[in-house]
Amino acid sequence: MPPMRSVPSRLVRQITQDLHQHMALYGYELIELPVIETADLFLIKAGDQVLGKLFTFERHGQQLALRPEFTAAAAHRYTRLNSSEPARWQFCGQIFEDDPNDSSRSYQRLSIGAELIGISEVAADAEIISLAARGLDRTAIRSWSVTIGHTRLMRQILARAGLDSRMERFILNHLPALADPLKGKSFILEQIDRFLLGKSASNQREETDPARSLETLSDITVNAQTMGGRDHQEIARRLAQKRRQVAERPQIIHALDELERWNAVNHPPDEAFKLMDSLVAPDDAVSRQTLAGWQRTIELLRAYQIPDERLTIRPNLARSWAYYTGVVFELTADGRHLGGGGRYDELLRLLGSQRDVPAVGFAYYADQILELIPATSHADVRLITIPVMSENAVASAVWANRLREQNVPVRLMPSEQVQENAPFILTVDNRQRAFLDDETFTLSDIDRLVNILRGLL
Amino acid sequence: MNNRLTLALPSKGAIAEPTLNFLRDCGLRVEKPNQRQYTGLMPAIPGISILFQRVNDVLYKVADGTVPVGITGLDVVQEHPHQDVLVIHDSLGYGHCSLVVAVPETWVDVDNLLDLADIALDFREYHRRTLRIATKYPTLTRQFFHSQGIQHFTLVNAEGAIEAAPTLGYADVIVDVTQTGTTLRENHLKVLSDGIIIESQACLVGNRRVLPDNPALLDSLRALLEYIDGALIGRNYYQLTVNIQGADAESVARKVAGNPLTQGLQGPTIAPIYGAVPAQPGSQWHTVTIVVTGKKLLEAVEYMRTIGGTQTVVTPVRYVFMEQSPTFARLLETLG
Repeated sequence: MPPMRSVPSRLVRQITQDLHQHMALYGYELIELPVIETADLFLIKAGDQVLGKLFTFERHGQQLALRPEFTAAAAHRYTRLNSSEPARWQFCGQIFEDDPNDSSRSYQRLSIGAELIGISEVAADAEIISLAARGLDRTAIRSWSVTIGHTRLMRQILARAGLDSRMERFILNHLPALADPLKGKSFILEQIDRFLLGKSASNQREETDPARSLETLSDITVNAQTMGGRDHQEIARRLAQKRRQVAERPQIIHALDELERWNAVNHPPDEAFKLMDSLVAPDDAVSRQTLAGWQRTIELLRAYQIPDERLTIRPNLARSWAYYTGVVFELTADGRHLGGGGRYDELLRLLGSQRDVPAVGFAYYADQILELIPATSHADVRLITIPVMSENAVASAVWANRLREQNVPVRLMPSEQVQENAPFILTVDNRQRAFLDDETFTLSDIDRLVNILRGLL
Repeated sequence: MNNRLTLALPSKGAIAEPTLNFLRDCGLRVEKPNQRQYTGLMPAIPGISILFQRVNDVLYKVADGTVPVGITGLDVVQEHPHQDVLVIHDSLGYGHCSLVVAVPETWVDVDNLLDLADIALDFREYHRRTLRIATKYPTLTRQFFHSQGIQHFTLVNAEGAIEAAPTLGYADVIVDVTQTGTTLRENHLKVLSDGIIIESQACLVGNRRVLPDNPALLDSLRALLEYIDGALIGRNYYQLTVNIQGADAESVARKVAGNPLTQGLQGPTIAPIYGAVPAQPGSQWHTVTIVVTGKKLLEAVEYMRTIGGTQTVVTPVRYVFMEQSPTFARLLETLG
């Protein structure tokens, strides 16, 4: 990551305000969320990048954390509202991370984003993506693009291979390795052999004898008191599942082959959907339906005037498989990640909701956006400069004070430090007269001066 | 400032008595004038006072600087990391135990942490709750589980018989210390094959802020470490006294030092014997004194026999004092 430059705080405020107004136009209400929550709330988002970077501490026997993001807290808030009304919320504030790889050692950063909770339609996906992307237009960033993936589609493709959920999870979590030329399929297979199939275990033969295993299971679990919250059926089912996995190696290889083919999709929408259409098996109605829904999302994005050349379709875009359940996306410009988000329909139930609540959201990496804003937009705030010398010091203070009372921003500068061509210079003499261009003003006609200055500023 | 070095020792628990035994074996007998009081003396080093505390409190007292040094378990130190606590000696050689992840032995489908990660997700998906882990070690447990990619769990804070938690139903698995695993087995629990979080034993800790400021404390601590290092190093050695014939001391020395096993710490000590048993013509009886490592004792005895050694007397070494206490030298370096 390139070194961060110092960004004036008024620029931060400006961007924050612009994005806030932009999201308000879509009906998103600005909400405040706690800085400190229970650590568990954030840890439910498994697989996310924040886990190792959480600031945690203990109080009264409870593990607490500084928020590393807003989504979990927003979802938690919605759950507690116990409402069936959709919520459109935007948020803005500092988030906290302890990233050992971040040489700048900046522990907090500004995050701005939005959540749309309670609507499952593709329209909601399109709304959030366009909200996020078009928001960048409000900043001075012009070269943004959006990469869109789909976690559910990839799960469905994988499900076709007939693998159990455990193997599915394992493979999904290792998808980035599949695209890595140094690792690839053989690396994942090696990991599967080592950790899931236990090939290195010396008792493999004994373990795979189903009759013996069931006998053992029955011996141990009949009349057993210590079950640790699981029942016999559950243990037997999973044991059988583990046995099956050993026999399933050809299916695993087939699934990895299939995913490798999908890895090749990284194109603009038309080309990508054509390619994906050819990759979906003729009898795979479920994936076709997902693909159709995804295509409708893209059509809506076009209606939101997000042109195809700004879009890349990459189905395996990995943004936490354990957490996202549908469309996922990333915003980039000039090689920087400016934000991202996706659909997370299962989170609210995990946070205690009694029903399934669809949700989609995103967050900007505001520090990255600020880094990209061109320096020209850092122009000074418009204000009046009064050059001060020893003779006019008192008169300058009097004028500055009176103008500020009328809400005109004024700064006093030693006259030798005022650049000749600086704009908005008001000269004051020792007789308390002020001069602007060719006009002279006294304190009695300050209102006239104020009107002129307001026009200038 | 108090110039006496207060050493906090565990008053009860698994390492309380072994600590007193360890110190006694180092030549540092602890006297407790009144059984009801929490203080004691160490006659071998008059500058040291003893304060008996619970094993966790030993660490807390050292951490807040109330006492400069103490003996506690490495597991306790790692569970409650504190910037001012310095581990002066991390392996006093007793109080060995492991902090382990144990699951019900009925979970025949669970052998390792990858299985447990899977079960944690199953709990979330099928039971709509998180895996519950009973432990007295929340910090180490949390760190370990997170490092293993297991995020979905709830820690159940428990004191007392944690092993019973899965049977009583308030936890699914446990994280606890075990020495032999017997208690776990008796409670129908098994340790995961890769479920050892840390290996622990008794250790000596000190406060890094308090120690450098007081030369008198450091002097008493140096004496303490001399005894401890001397005894711990000494445990590894035996002294052999062997009678052997040879033309002269030098030829005997050459034979003895011919094997690295019997070279001793510096070399053999050899002295002539003026005894009643006559030696072969041209030879004289010599007695050889060497120090050998305990692990190679028999090998050394065998070798001495091959070069004519007989009447080998072996005595344990009580102390080996090096040029200085290695632990104290390391401590000074750390304290700068």
